Amino acid sequence: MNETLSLFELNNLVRSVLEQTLDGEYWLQAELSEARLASNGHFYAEFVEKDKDGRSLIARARATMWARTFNMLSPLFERATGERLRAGLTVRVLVTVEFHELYGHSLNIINIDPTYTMGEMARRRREILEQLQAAGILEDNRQLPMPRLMKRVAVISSAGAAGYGDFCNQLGHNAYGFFFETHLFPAVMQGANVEASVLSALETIMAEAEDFDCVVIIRGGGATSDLSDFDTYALAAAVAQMPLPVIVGIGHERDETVLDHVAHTRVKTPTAAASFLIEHQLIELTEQQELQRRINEAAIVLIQEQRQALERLTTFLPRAFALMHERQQRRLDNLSARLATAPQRHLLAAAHQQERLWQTMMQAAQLRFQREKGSLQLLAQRLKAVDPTLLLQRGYSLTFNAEGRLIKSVSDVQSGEILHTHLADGTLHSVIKTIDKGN
Amino acid sequence: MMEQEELTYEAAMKRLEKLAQEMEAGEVAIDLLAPKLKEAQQLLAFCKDKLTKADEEVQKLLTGQ
Repeated sequence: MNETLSLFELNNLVRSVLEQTLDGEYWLQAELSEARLASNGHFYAEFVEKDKDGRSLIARARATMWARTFNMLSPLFERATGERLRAGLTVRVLVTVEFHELYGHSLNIINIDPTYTMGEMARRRREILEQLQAAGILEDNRQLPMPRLMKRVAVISSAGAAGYGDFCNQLGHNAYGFFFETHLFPAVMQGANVEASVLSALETIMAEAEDFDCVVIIRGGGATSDLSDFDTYALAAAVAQMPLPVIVGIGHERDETVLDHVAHTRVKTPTAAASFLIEHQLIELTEQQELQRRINEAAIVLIQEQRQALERLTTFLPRAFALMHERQQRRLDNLSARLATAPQRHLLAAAHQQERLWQTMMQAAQLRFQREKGSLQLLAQRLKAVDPTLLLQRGYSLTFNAEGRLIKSVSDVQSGEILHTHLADGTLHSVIKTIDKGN
Repeated sequence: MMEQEELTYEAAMKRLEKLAQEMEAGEVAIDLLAPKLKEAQQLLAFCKDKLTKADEEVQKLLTGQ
């Protein structure tokens, strides 16, 4: 091997060996340390691999994606991950190993697997969330009570961003005339300085927290940008520990960042953040209107009740008076009737008494008559006993002379005289023949 | 108007809620109805202003300047 080679010949040798031994396609996972889209449309990058501590490089390789491939793959990648191919991303790519005599070793990227990058990003977010959880601050901001009034708004955004303009416009021209006091705390919302810049804005707001009702972090619009700039522990912890509710509107439809998980409220866009604030005030307005309606109704009811009570009184009083009047009248009538019949009753009573007396007297009289009658009968019986007729019936007789004198002695009579002897059943006329004196 | 320096939106809404409850329960004497209604209207105006006006304007209205 005394032959001396030119550099080209040597490199050409390396190239042919490489092409023979590494002629296939290889899936490679590595971190992009550089990424640049050249004006000719080709994509130039550098892959690195760090040691376990992540401090020093243990491998490095340049890589190229030709314009045609890049134009096909990069939109797919961005749509899937929400990320441009940029330094700092870890990717999984399909490469062929190239060696060029002039440019040396390089990788030619022919395909890219976005799901790997998505998985990596998700894993990183998950790690941050787990850290926050372990620190006990994950839920801090989400559990803050929402103030009823969300009027004084601290906004973190880049001053010139379209999203900030949309936000202010939406708030300023809300249909309900709500007034919002917005105060911008400018910050870099894209690139490597996001973390430091947003942290500094949050610190400033924290110092004036009493002057604000909430914090809104927005960025926005335009091309898909690098959301993973927001996926840092320091930023997430700062948001979680803000004493004011934080509303973030930094994502897009399918993207999410760690901030979306720790912030009080997450919305998709700056416009949505404005709508959220307006709707919150609208709830208050509705509540005010409801209170007004309730108070008015209650007042009307109270007044109606009083009026009805009054009406009841006005109809009831005359009736009550009439009723009382009628009752009094009846009492009077009753009294006068009693007064009118009282003398009659006295007379009647007197009459009754007289009647009773009369009857008593009559009874007494009758008793007397009966008693007299009894005595009379006794007398009659006694008289009967001495009645000559009875004597005649018993056999005694009465003898009269012609002059009608009762003959009681033989001396009264002379022989030859005609005497008339009365018997019970007739009279004997006899002539006296003899007279014997004494028995 | 009462407590014009310290009155906050939340306090005003709480007071309104209480007023509404009292009146709905019929606990308001008819003599007090008018003053209470007046107070409610003032509180409602205050709360609405909080939503729709800059605070300095509200302050001006309240202090009557």
